[in-house]
Amino acid sequence: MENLTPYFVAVATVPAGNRFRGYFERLDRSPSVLLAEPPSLREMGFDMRTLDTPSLSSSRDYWQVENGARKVLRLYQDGTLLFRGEISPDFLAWAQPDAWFEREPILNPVPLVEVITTFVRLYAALADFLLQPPPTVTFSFSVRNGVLPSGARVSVRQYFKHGIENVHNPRTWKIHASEAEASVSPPLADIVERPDHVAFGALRSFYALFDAQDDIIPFVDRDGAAPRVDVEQIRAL
Amino acid sequence: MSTDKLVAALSVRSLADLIGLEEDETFDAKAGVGYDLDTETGRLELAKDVSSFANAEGGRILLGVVTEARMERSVDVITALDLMPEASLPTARISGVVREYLYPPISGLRVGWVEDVAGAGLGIGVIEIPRALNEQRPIVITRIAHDGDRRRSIVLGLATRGGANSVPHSPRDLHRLLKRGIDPTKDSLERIEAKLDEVLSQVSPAEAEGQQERETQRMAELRKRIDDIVRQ
Repeated sequence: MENLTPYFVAVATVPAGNRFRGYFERLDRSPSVLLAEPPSLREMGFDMRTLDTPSLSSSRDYWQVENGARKVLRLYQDGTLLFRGEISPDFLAWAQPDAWFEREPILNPVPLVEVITTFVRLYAALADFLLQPPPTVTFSFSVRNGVLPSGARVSVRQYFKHGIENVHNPRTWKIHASEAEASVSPPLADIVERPDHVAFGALRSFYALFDAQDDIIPFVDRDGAAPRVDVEQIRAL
Repeated sequence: MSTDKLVAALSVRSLADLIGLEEDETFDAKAGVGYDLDTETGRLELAKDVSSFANAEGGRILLGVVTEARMERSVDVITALDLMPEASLPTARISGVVREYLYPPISGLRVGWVEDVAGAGLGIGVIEIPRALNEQRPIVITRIAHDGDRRRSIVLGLATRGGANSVPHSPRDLHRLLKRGIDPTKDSLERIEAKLDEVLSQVSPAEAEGQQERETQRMAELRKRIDDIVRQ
């Protein structure tokens, strides 16, 4: 039976011909160990951690960690990192009552921002193992099955610290199609040295899939030369 | 830390101190008696939760507390007490389900009722689950099948504690774990491929003719990988 669960998918890729050094190792510093212990911002956050032990696929194509259906992370030897996050009240629509979610599936801005930020930070750490430092890395973020069988569309909303502004009729921005993708290709140097700036750029392109302006993206420092995700605000939650 | 506050609250029976605690890898909280033991689904849910703690570092399941999801953190927090008299806690049934549905038996597991210090004969249920000894692991979930007059047990699944959740392993995952234990060549192959990796890295990359074709193939492969992870 076809899987109609809505998912968020994040991908990081580099130009063809690259590979990870020490890909099959399980040493203290190796790409697979980063899957087991990815960078995180806080305890009990919404991030890349799965508490799983990395396992190599039977085809030897990828390392995988997972946390039930909520999160799956795969790392390929050619430098590709894939993340699948479930859009459900158990993860990316966290704290939305189940019955409400079926009528109007809304991405919780807290996990959305934290997941994209920690995905970029994870790749920043993995990039150290690439045999040939690429000039750029392409990040793409997509929604799959964004239109539920009921016709309800996955949407984004503003963040209000004490819940949502109007419980019965929140302002939301809906995705246009069941499958939609946004991508950015920042220089490797930016990813490694300024990952939170890269994360903001990624979030801006993702929110644009919903025709939402970037001023509704929470936890952003707009005071510097360029906007960035302010991870201290996330840590303080 | 939630664990210290939880233990302190239970030891002095000051159950109001549980309010505000967040579920984590050491405890789970349920309203009412927690599980519908009259249904197979409810019994399996209990078995899954108990075994997930035993397969991790041990923990407790509190019965008779109300929780809500925290908006900004991936946890549920205790918001109220839903106290019950001791007679309402199906202690024997809970113990029976755990004995019947889990293998091997978990040594030291306890099911009890803690009366609130305020008295009035009301309290909460607590299932205390020790960490399973290494030689006992993993604790697997079994199911009773009736074959004529005979009762047989078959393995149904395996669960572990992941943060504040009890996560059942998928059949694919369980199969992989079982295979890992009987594949003697895997480590050798991985060492060989690690060495090959080192050798290949010393070869200078050539400018590729047909780079466009390679890129097209790469994008097609990427699409296939994405479709595969979505389908899992």
